[in-house]
Amino acid sequence: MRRILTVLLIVVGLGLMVVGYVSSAPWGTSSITDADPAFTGAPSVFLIGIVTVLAAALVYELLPARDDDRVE
Amino acid sequence: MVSDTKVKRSLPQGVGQFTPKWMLFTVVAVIVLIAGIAAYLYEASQGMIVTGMANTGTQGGVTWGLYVVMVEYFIGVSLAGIVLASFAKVFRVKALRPISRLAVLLTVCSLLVGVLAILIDLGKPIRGIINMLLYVRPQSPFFGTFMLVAVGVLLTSLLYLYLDGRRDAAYLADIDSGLRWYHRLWAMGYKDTATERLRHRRTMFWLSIFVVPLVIIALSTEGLVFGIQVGRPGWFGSLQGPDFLVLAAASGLANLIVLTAIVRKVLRDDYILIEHTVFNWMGGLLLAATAAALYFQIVELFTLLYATPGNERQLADALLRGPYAWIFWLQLALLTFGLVLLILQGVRRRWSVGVSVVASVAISTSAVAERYLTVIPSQTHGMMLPYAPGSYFPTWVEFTVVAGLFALGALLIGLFIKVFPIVPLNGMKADQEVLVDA
Repeated sequence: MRRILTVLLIVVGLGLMVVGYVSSAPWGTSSITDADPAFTGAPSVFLIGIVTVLAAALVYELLPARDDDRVE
Repeated sequence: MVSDTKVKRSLPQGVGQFTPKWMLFTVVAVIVLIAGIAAYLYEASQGMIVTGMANTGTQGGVTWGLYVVMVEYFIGVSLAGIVLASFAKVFRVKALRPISRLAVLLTVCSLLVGVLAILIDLGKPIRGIINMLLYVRPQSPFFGTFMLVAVGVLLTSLLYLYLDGRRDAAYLADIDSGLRWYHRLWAMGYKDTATERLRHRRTMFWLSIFVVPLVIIALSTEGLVFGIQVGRPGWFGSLQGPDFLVLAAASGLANLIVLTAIVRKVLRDDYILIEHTVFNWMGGLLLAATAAALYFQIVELFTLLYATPGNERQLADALLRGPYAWIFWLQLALLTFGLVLLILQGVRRRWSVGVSVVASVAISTSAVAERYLTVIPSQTHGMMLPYAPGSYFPTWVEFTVVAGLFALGALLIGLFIKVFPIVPLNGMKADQEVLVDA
């Protein structure tokens, strides 16, 4: 469960970063009229992607497991 | 009366002990910080007319002044800490482990004040942040400085600092003290089981692997803020990114050496926690970074000497013989002086803490001057349009705001040291047991 959630967060986060980055940049045009991002708030999607990837580390480390009670 | 006593553990490394010297330091830092806030509020109410900045060309001033210089400096300083801690973690360099937390703390604090310096420079920071979230493009320098540096590197460093401290927090949470609630919160249920330790090692390893390329990309982007601008003489060039990185490494290590020396002095009784080998390592790394930085300076100097007639030549004259010459030669002398001190120590294989600190102060001061020379002269000299050369000198408002930023950084580090052990307890003699009357 922990691993699935961690990998899921990393994949979703990286996906959001790619979508946010590509949508923020006006690819394939040199016209100033097309300089805005593909949709308003696209840079925020990139930012949420970074936070999601970092959240994976928190989930992996903080999510309690059954054998965590066995103190060495 | 052994039977009437019980064993009670105290918080290690002076945590929770607010000494008169620490109080004095805090009071001074708070006063400077308040002065900085007051100066910023004055600037916010009166407008940027109270600064030394003005439009380039038409008003003969600069639009990027001392604040942008300090953005470059603070963000540069942040590089070494997190990279050094990651390096120690991935390659299991035990000698550097005692300063890994201090190194990451330096990264976090310098990034925080660096980001604040960007916001202060904006004039209308709220509008800037909202528009950045809605419209900023990856081609914009703001994307690099904010999205990658402020969000990416700062959040990663904070996460690193938090996760790396959980085990120590769990240990401290068992000690009866006024800070117990805080240590419990930090530990977040950590019990130090074998599986938790394994998970922690894995997380820190991958976080360390993730953070190094992130920092290099983010800080190279910071250099490219200047390197991709063709509109100003002296900025456009492929060396800006690597040059920024190398000087960032040197200034970061220099600050870390000074900070480590201060912490070592403050800890006193726990002197042994930061062994002398730490300075050997950091001295060697600083030597390599400073030598590379000086190499870039010399290459730049030769390029300037052979600058073609025109805008670049005007800039070269301003730097070598003109109004900026004293800063240019002083920063070069300071960098060389610092390097010579480090080489002498390296050759003799005897690294003195005092000499390393002197070299570090010289290198760090040189880095501030170098950032100044990167940002300012290209805006006042070598105009492409027929404007007369301009000038810039920061006002008391800018100096006070910057002093406030330094005070904030120092205050954050000072406060952290009093609420959490700055030297990791893992693998060290953490217990400080005292006998008290029952």
